[in-house]
Amino acid sequence: MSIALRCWLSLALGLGIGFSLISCGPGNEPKEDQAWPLELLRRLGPLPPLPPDPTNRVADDPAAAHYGQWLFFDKRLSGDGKVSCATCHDPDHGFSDPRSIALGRGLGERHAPTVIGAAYQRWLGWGGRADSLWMQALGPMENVVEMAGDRDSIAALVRQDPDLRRAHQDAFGELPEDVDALFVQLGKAIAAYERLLIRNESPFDRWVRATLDLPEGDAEAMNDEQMSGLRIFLGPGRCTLCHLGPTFSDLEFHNNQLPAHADGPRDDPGRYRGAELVQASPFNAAGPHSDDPNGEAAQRVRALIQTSESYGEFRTPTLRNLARRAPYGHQGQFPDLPSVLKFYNTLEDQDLRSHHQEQLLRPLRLDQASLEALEAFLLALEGDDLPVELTQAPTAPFRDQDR
Amino acid sequence: MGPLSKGTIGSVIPSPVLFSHARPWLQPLVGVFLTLPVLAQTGEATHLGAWLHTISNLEGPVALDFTPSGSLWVVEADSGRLSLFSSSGTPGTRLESKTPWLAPMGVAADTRLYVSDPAQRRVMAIGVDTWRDADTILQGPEGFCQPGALDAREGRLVVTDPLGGRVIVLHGSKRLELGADLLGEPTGACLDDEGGIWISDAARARVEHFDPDGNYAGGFGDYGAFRGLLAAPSGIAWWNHRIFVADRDNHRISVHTEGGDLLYTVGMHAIWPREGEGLLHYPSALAVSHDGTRMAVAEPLDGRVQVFSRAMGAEPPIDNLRRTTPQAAAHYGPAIRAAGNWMLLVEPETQSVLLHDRRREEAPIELTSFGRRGHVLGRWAHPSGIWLDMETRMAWITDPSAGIMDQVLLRIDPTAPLNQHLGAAAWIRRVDLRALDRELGSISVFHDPRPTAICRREDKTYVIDEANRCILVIDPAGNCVQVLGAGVLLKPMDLCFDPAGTLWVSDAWQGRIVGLDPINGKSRGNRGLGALRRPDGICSDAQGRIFVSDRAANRVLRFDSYGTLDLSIGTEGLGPEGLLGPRGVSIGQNGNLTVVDHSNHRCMVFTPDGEFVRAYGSKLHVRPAMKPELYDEQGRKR
Amino acid sequence: MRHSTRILSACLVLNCLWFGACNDKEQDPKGQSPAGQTPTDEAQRSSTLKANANAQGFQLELITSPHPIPLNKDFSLRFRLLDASGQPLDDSLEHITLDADMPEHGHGMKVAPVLSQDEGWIEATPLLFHMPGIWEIYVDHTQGHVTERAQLSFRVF
Repeated sequence: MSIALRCWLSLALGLGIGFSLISCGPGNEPKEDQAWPLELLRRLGPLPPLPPDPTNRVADDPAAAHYGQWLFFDKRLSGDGKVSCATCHDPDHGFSDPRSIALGRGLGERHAPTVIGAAYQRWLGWGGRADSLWMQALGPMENVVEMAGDRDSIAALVRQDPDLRRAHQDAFGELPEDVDALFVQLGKAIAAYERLLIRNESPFDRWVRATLDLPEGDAEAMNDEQMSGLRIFLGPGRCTLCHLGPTFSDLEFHNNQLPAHADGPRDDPGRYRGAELVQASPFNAAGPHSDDPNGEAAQRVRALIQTSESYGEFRTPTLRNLARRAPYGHQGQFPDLPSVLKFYNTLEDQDLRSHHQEQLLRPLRLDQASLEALEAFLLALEGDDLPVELTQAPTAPFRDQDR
Repeated sequence: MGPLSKGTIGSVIPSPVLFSHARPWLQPLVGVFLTLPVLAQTGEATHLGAWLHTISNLEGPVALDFTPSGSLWVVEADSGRLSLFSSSGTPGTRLESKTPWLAPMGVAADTRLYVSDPAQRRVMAIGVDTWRDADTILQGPEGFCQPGALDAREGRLVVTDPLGGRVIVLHGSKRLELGADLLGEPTGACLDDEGGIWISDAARARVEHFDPDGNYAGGFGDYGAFRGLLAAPSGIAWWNHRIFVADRDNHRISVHTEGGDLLYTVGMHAIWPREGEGLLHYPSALAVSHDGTRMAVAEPLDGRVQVFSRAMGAEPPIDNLRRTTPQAAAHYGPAIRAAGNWMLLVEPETQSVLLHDRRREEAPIELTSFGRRGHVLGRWAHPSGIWLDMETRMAWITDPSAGIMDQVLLRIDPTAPLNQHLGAAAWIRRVDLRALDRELGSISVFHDPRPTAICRREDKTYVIDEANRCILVIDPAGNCVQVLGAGVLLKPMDLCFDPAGTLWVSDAWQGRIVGLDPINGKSRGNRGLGALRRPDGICSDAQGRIFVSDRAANRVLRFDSYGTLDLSIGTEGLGPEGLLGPRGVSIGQNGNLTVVDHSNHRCMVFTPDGEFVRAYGSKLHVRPAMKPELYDEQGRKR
Repeated sequence: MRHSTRILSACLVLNCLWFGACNDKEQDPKGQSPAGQTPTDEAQRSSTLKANANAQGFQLELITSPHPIPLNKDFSLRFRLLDASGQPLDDSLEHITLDADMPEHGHGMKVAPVLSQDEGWIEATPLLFHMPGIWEIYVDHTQGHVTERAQLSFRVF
């Protein structure tokens, strides 16, 4: 029996959607006047406060965040001085990349995911090769196809550049002798900045507050088409199988057999490799550089199971703030939202590797109006714009008030 | 049966190379103009995976090896024969069975010809001049269960012991034993040019490497269907620092660096019976010629060896058209058991067990599936034996590679309306048969049991132990209280009780079924000598008739209660009477016979008198049986 | 009574719960219950659950923390095994395993909890039920060459 069938049946029973073995098509779409499933809505919004990151003691330190913002835009961290974090995580493109496959010092293998809201994630990277924002920030700096720098050169730069050194001292105190320790601190500063990249107060958040009788709600924040799209999202669209939680992601990994992009590898182990990398890295939450090596995140990474069942799985992306960050998919396979929805609607070009491969999904077979409503709802997850000053390099690595 | 005579090659067009997927009418031209220059290339930039020709109509080819001159030895397990083919595939010398082996399973061509005979638990060396002077090189059962695959190079001989979970290397007077605490089921082994040993471990989906002194030197592989993962790797060859793996259950050859990185794969799953020309179906062994220009792949279920040559390019081109071909989704078997309206089947690709309800006439309904790949309770490496008790709603499952027997409650009401109950299985207990008392009856050397088949009567469980060639009788507390059939059985495959209480056991290597008294283990006669070639599944009906599948002969034989062979059901093919490698058999509540048509990926239902009733499973394979007028004997659309 | 019949009768209650849990869509989605009990309100409020091993070889007493089990958040469990007379089983951790599975989905957790002993109780941490639906927690106990299982079903939402 396919895993897909098991999942659909189980989800339907669990959520009380009214799904049955005999009748399971889009005809089950709830009527407009039907009561909203409040328990389910509570799982989706409004966006809660950012969870703390005890593995990074400067996670919420303003000086570190300012320094991290500078570093995020500083191309000197790369091997040739031409690439920064912002090269692929472009603030003008939703902190993502307009290219399908990221292009740094070389052509990568995956699309650069958005940094906005990344602080809510449990695992970072499409394959989850990091368990914290700061660990994630360290990888690209030394990856030969991303920034292609090296920690020795970067540490030397920080020691030699008076502004960087001062900013570093403002955030962390005296510069550590150990290169790895200094390198990790850079990651923690960048993470502190990235934790500020949250876009809240989407029309959905305001609407769901009103629907759940929470303060500061606005029952008119979503229009009829968007509400219709939400009903499809919760019902026949079956989106909440994976996109469940306030970030509209379950924070975990699934293999939806997306077709490979022409420029991307056809075989990508995804989570299979990511789990191995994060567990082996000295920079994980349980490692010597963590500020909470016995905390919850540390226990989780220690207990992580490595199994080939996770081969080809990729992290469920957040559906918040989709509008400005096309293309979509772990290889940027889909140029726009309609093409994403078309894939799940038809499963055309589904990448079935062999007869062993379970069919994880079944075509939704929604009509065009339903697809358009679904897209309209997804665009209602667009939060308030970030303050402009967070989307560009600051004038100096250290804060003015610290001068 | 196809038009070709036994032992001939299916195609002698040494063509494909650059145009391996070209239209057939182009192939002769390709062969003439392009083959020779390209075949001469053996550099690193070329892959070894262009289909060259097929040696067809072999009888269960399970092992093969190239001679230094490029000829190919093939072991045909179903006939017990060793056959030599020239480099162009022309049949040559043929060494028949029982001279001096019973059931050869491995071959290695070096300065002598080495042959493993698991039936006699020995490896022998034969002089290449006379083919008759056989020396015993290795003899079990002391410290050794039974030999499987072999490889020999420059005086070293490597012998797998798949049931014993070890590999033995002989070099002069030196003997090394490898992997006793590591290996699960070493099905293939080869030597590299420095004397290092590479082992394919089917149970663990791994390739392991040992240095010439027997020290573990690492390995690679994990279970799965994606490229780079392995599923029951069953054969292995080394050439020029490349590792070639027969990835049996993925129906492909994987070629790796010595570090384990995947370089390329060869072959895709063949759908129709005998479909070939590079498409593979359970490739179980392979060999690479000494000059590296050819690779031979044995496919026992399809009775053939396919030979591949070198071609330009990093890897064989992907046939996109083929990728979209409807897939054979459902693989069944080999085991099947029925009780009342319920039927239990093993699904080998997922390592799950499927429970079907047979109340609906046209096709059974899958109620649930349970178990999956793994080692903890609730998971298996390779479920094999199954038993179903309708009254208590209990299922028993054995996993030979783990040596365990599980008892599972099926939380389904058999009288409720037909419906699927996902997750209906609750594990009751697991018995680790490897931890049983070793002082068991008349067995002097007791190896770790490998429970391959199971049946129950009253409160006793009867388990076939293929390692010790006996039947273990297990009481409700999980203790072994009796051993039956030791010294009588050679290759017990399946077992059943007839209404008179005789325990019948099919024995593949003896070509017969053996009746045993379940109380004292004494023989109550045997059936089928001379008629059965490789008996496999066995069951009895209420009249005491015994039905036995013959995997090698593609039929099911019926013996009446007096022991007379009175019916043969099925012939080779895909039509309504077609069977290909039939395995498990079972009698349902209405007396009909269900046969796992293993190589056709379907189940066939016959009346007890052999009339075709229906087929079910993958539509691709069921349709030719249900609508025979639309298909030819090979199952292709007319 | 035949041994297998005894096991069957012991498991019928478990069977009934299964149908109830799967088919009763009106049930509180936070409800969770031991495999041998009907999911009453009392059971939902209680954080201590008990179940007999499926083969009756031992009893499982289990405390969830927090309660009810949260969806997609780390949590821990405390449990102990009791013999037929209700006395705690004093056994080494190497003979005890804890795992959880979504039998309807055909997958389990993505973490393997670590077990530690503390004053007669065993703590398992971390566990993470990352998808909504029915989860089963399994505690397996090995004695000699036989391993038996006790299990509890939870609907997590």
